[in-house]
Amino acid sequence: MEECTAARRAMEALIDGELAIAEEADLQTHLAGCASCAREFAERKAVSASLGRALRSALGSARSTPAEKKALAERMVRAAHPPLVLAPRIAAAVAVAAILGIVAYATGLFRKPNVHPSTTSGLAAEAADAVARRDAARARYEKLLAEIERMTEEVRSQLPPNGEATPADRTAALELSALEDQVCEIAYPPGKPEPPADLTAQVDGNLRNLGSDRAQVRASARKQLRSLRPDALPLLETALESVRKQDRWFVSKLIDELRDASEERRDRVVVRQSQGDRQIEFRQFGDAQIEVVVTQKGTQRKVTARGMNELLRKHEDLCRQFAISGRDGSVVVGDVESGMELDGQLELLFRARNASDFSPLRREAYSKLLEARRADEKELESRLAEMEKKCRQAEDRLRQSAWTAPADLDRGMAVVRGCDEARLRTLRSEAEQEISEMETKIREFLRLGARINGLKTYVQEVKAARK
Amino acid sequence: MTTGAVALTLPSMTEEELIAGCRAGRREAFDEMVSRYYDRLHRLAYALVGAEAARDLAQETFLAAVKSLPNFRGESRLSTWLISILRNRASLLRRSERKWRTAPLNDEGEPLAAPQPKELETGLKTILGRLKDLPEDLRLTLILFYIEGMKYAEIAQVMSCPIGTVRSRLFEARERLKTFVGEKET
Repeated sequence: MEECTAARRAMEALIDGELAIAEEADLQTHLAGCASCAREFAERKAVSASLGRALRSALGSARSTPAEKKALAERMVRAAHPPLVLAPRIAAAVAVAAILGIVAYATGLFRKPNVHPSTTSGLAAEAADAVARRDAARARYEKLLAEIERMTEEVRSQLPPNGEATPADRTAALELSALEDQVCEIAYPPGKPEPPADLTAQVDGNLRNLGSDRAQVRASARKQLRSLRPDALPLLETALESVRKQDRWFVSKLIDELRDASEERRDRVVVRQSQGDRQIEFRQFGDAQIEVVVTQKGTQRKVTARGMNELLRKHEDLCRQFAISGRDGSVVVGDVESGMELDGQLELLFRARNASDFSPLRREAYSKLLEARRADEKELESRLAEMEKKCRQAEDRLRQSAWTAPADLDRGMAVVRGCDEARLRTLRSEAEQEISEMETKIREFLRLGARINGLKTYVQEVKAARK
Repeated sequence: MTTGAVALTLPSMTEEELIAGCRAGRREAFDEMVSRYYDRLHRLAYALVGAEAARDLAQETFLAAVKSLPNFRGESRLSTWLISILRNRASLLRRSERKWRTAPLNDEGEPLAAPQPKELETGLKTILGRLKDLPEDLRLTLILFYIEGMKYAEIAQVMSCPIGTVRSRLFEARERLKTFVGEKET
């Protein structure tokens, strides 16, 4: 049965030509001996082939002609060498800038009297345009950040206090903290570190700040508390009862982590496997650290990572070679799976401190909630699918919403008025740089905001399922 | 002694040479860039926005790339970069088709519901009709795999996601479409 589960997991990769050689041999051996899996493999292969044919046939009509390509290349040349005629949007600005430039030139305001006013007026128009677009990007950024902070607050307010929280609620709380931390990393880069206060004052202050209304303050408090050394343990244990109910799970996990740090590191997940002439040993410890040791012909190679996210990201080749996949606390190596219960996985995810894909955890936690309410298998599958569909739609809705702000060219012109050529170049360059940075942050916010919106829906579904 | 015309086969440019040529505004570099990537982008655009808008989208992508070339740092392949521009332009196109207002939030700060996008293939029960129902990430993953013949690792780079996510997206897309291909084949 376990072999069949592992075989099904590997089938798609074999059909796609992406399976490691050793694994392919194992899968072929299994298929030769298991009629059910062989049938399923044949069906999936047929579906993939049919899908490929259908797509190639449908998209075959998306053809271009040589004339079309030639015309495009010409347009690209013109775009690379724009004429002096400016786009209508800034043409008016050029006229104004030209007047300003000529007036400034006539009154000797330019430092270099041999600079032609029309060159500077074009530059002024470009700088004004860049400044206007920069301000619009800033406005979009602020609008999106405000919406994300509002949504975060809304999700937090719907989570029950720790005493009443189910694993589904704890999954949501952990995901919300992780997403909030990521938003704050982008929105509020860390300033200068403050001089360390007395340890008691530091712990008390940060515990109080956990309950702040401001996301930035909460994220900073979490970061400070997580950097505490083991000698802070007695202070945290004493304070636990007086911490707000909503934050008690977080603080108790910190306490567990500090307690475990003072003991010998214990294994939480261990997988050993032989693949051909290689032996691989995977371990994840209680502090979420991972060690993978590969032994081949007497030589050993070891890699370490803090959590599965880091392992999959930094050691991609190794993971592909040995078919390592999964998440903290639930790992697959080759055809062997090993994992902890949901609460154990949440604990390791907490300690790994890496943003992760929470979808499988949400699914498992929600499934357990429904099982506890005696949902039969059919109803369970149907409700799980419905919950996931609603979460995806919520994510799509946020991603597809417009976050627009108009570019105010008049204001841009006001900023550049009176500037000399050097200053105009600096303004334009700095504005373009900032626009590029803002656009990167906005894209990240859209990604995180979509996840928070999906999480909001998940929390609502969990609340409904609890009734 | 007679001499005949000799057909010259110019050596293909490396990617670095191509980028440098485009940055310098050379016509032959743009010809080469279009020759190498236009059909691929046109197919991807077709899958994202449909036949009617695909040509415009693909062309806008190239023009946007010309303007953004100074910012291209070469950290990814040129094709990966072009596809990311295409995806951004596709999003902008969809937003402009919905005629967004400049204040999308209502008085209570809730996002307004988006009007439904135009049908990609109105009234047609083809694979493209089913494809449009898939989220964009699944759709794009399918096209990059089946049409562009990319490996998981390449797709992961284009889509900026882990390889495991590429696998699960392909699996999910096939599950969702398998009923359709089953009907088609019978």
